[in-house]
Amino acid sequence: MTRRKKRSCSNPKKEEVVKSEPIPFDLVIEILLRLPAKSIARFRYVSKLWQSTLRGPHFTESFLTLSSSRPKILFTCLKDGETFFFSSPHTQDLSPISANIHMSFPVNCPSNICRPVHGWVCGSHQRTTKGTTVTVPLICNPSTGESLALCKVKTRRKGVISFLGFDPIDKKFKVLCMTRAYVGRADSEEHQVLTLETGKKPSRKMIECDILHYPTVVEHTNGFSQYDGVCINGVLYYLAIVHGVSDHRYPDVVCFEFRSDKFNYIKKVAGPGMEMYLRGQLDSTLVNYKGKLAKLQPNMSNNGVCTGIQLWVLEDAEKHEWSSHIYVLPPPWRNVYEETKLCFVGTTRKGEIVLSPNTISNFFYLLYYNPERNTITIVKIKGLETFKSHKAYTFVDHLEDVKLVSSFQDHDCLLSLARFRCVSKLCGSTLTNQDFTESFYTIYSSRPKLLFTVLKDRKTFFFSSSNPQGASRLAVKIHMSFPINRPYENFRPVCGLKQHTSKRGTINVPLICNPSTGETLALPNLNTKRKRGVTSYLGYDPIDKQFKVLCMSHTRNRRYFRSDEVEVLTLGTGTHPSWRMIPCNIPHELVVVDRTSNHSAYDGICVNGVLYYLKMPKHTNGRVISIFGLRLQASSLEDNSCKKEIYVGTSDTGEIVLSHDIITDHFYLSYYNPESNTLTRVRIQGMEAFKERKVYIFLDHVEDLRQVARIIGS
Amino acid sequence: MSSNKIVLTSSDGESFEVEEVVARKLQIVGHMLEDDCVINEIPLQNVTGDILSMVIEYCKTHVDEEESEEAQTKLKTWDEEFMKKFDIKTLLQIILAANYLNVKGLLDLVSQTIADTIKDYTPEQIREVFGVENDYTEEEEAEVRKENAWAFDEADTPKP
Repeated sequence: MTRRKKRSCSNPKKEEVVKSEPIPFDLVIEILLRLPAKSIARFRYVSKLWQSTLRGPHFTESFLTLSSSRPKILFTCLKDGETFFFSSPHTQDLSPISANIHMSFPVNCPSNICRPVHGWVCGSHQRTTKGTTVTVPLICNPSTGESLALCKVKTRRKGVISFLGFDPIDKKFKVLCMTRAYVGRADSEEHQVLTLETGKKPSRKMIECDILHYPTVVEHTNGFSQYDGVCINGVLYYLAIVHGVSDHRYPDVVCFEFRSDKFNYIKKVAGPGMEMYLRGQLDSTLVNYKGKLAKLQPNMSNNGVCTGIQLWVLEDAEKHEWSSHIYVLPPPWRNVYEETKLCFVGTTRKGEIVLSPNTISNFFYLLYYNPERNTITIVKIKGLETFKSHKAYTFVDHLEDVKLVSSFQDHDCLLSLARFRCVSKLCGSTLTNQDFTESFYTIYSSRPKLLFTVLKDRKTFFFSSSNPQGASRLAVKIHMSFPINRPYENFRPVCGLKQHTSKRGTINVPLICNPSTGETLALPNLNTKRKRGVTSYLGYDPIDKQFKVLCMSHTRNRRYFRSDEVEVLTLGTGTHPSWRMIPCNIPHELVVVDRTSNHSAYDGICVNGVLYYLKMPKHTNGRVISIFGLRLQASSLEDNSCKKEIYVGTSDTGEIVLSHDIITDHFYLSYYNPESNTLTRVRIQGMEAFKERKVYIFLDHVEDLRQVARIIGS
Repeated sequence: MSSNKIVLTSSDGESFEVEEVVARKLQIVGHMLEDDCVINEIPLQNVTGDILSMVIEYCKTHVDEEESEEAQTKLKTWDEEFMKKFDIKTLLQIILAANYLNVKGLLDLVSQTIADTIKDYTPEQIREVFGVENDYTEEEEAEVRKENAWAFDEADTPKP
């Protein structure tokens, strides 16, 4: 490389400019994806944009993908009624590892070993009040510090066994729960599966189990029987005594497929050698060996000396085929084995077998056995000193997932989006960046919200909340208000934007408002001289991705539209928007669906680029006989506002939603499910200040960060 | 191997003569060469000479990436040593350059290095480094801090 300076450039001012160049936000995200989970939690607090980004599904999914390529070691330890979690990266060069304490969860009922599944663990919390013992399964994410109590399981002398699983196809966490009487060889009962879904309340399903069995207790801790299950590729495996199949001393493997909800069992290899050694110096354990179920057990010589390790790998579950590998370990093994009670931890991705001491002593370590080289390596673990003499569980395949537990709950985890745009210049430019807003919009299209609009004190107020998804109570948050005082339309949101007519002096000006950003845009005056009544509809053309406004004017006593009275305005063309007359060959009259504050309100629905609205037929006395459009129940019945109940629309699951049109002390939405013929009421809170006011409710509001100025393109 | 020489010129007028195969590691240059094969002097407007020289140093080292484990380990060690030389400000300039010049390997390396550097930073330091304005009110800040309290215990004694 030859390096030559053509001109000396030592202008310090220029240098300064280069240094303060902001890092594009996509590069910042690239950096953040490579941070440990703990730093992610801390950096949520840098700014609101960071907070929303770090919580967002795009980020958490990418983070998980990267995290899958570099699993971590997780340590769990129960002490003083809490389970503590530590983690550390895998060692590269066998130098001592320091385990960093992550956090603790109130998991005090060690009924199962908190084996991480896809970054999450499932534990149980037990408390006794007034003689009743309640066991609550807790789903915990050690990477975010959050936990979610699933549902109370009341037990009367019964143990609750729960196993966490992850279905990689649907990308859902599921929990298999069963109960079992404490006495003797009682079989497991009441099998049920809980499914955790983003944005939904956990759902519960009872499962038929035709294999009479009971899971094997692998450990006794503090008087609790502990069970263990390994979930590989959506299938849970655990040791169990199967009625009529297993010898009571030596369990078989029962598997449960989370997708099909089917139980099955896998037989042992015939003949001796595959017995489970439990309660010995070294207990047999099920592990995930390079994506297959495997069983690690000590290999005993004829004279009862442990010479090494035997690895059984499940090759074919249907044919009950196992392959066996016996490893005779090099000399240090004998000393270690005789001195300390060990336990199997698992296998690394490279195929090394990992063991650890059963309890923490002054010196806690991991023992790596490499079968290819036949070597034993001991890696010292620092940081667990305060947990001396406690039992520690170690897992070598822990993923960090920064998705928040709250994403499984029904409340909205995002902060008010409207405020983000004033975060900073960088955020401002990111938010107006088309890529960002488009992808944001795409995500939120799949999660429409409830939008409420109320007119009060010559302003229209907007409230929003997420869809209830099974909740019985919703708190609506006030978004903002706009100076809309002429309720000419029904304020139906179209792709996140709304359009209204506002009275400026005596001139009616259509306003485009975005409740997600708080912006408004007054449209130019119409060409028409007839200012008596102006009705405008906002529409969205999904092909050209343009917002368009259809405006019709009429005199007060005659509501027919002729061709010179219909105008269209297209937004987003890059030029200043202007009205364009369009011919209308169907003279028609609009149906007044509502009269509010002496104004006639009309309604129209824009579906897929086509606007539908109700018209009056020419020769009838104001009765609706022709209806255009989809969702008839929504549009045709809203004009019966004299009735107490009004139709709001249909939810994405096909439920019909009704509500009162006036806000009362007990304001609620009713969800009618035609399939199950059930009616569910969802209480709405947060609009008490608007009592006795007329409210419009929409079920399909999509939050859109696109700024009005961007959409106009000016 | 082609011994064609390409001259890369930085925004502040520094020129670097490198072999074509090295220059092609910069994908931006690679695309230019494919579009028009006669150019041999390429101006790179968004990167200064200091930073460009480091990018070129990286590309020269990574010009023939071997598959063997030994070579990989050697390169990894070199990467680590190479990155140790830079402070956070320089790293941020390198990431901008790597992004602009489109050097995938360097982009990954610098992203990880920056992540490792900033992982123990406090939010205040992060705001300073990335020029983010704190838009939380005091109450909101306290609230978010409370939610993420577990992440703060060590960060209270920030590293410089």
